[in-house]
Amino acid sequence: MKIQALQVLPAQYPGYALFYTLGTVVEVKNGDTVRITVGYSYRGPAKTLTLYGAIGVQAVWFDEKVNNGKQISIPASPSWVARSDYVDVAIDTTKIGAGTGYELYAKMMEGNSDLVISPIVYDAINVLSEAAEFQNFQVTSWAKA
Amino acid sequence: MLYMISLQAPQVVELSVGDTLRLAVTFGYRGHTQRLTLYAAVGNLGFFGFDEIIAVQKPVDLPESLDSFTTCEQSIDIAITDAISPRTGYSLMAKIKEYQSQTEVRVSDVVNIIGAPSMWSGITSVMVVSMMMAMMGQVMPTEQG
Repeated sequence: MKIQALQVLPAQYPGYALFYTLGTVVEVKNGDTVRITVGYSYRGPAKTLTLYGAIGVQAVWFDEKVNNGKQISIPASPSWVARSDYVDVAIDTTKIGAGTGYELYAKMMEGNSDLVISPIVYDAINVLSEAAEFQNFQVTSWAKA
Repeated sequence: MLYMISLQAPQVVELSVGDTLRLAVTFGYRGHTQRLTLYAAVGNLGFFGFDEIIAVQKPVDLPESLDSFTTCEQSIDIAITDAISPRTGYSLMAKIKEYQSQTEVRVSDVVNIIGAPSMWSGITSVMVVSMMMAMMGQVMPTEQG
């Protein structure tokens, strides 16, 4: 299973989607949604699985900041069939702070068991700060504490 | 935008290694609630900009204020270490790290670093007293048996 594409569904413009080619950094703001599209091949009986996507930081283990899963139904197939599905992960800046270089991955689960995990896409997501304005920023005092 | 603060008679603070300088800032803020970084430094203000010698930062939580500017007050402590040499005329800089262009301010020539008394000055004073006592011993008449 591979991550094929990333899209951003901006909160500011409902109904629109921004397409990104893999390898470019996706910039998102609070309320936006990242759509992770995966491609895979399947052969076997009909199954209902969970496609799960997460954005976070890869350290010793993957520290998930935001994630989501959705059920997908795969029809029975006696031979290998190429398929594609997506999962939407909402950006909530109370969980994923403004910052650069977040990673993401996706996986297919059956119940609580991981069936297949995609390679991690590194440095894929930048979370932008909310727009803010400052006025009359000044140092008012400095003294020995 | 860079705001330069120029005061007619800026308060000069004298500090030694081990002291703490408390710096307070005020500003108007308009935007979503968010955690940003207050950054401050002591250093030299020169032709090529601000040369930081001791810098500190801390997270600050800004309130939700979407319609109007809310006045915010924050302070930050700078520990004076031996990284800075005893001298007069150091300057201060403060900013919100994520919004440097809107917030960076500098206050020039307001910090004097006083050197700790050296070991040699103590030894010198003991030597002077000893020499004076020795000279007095030679001048003062002594009783002859």
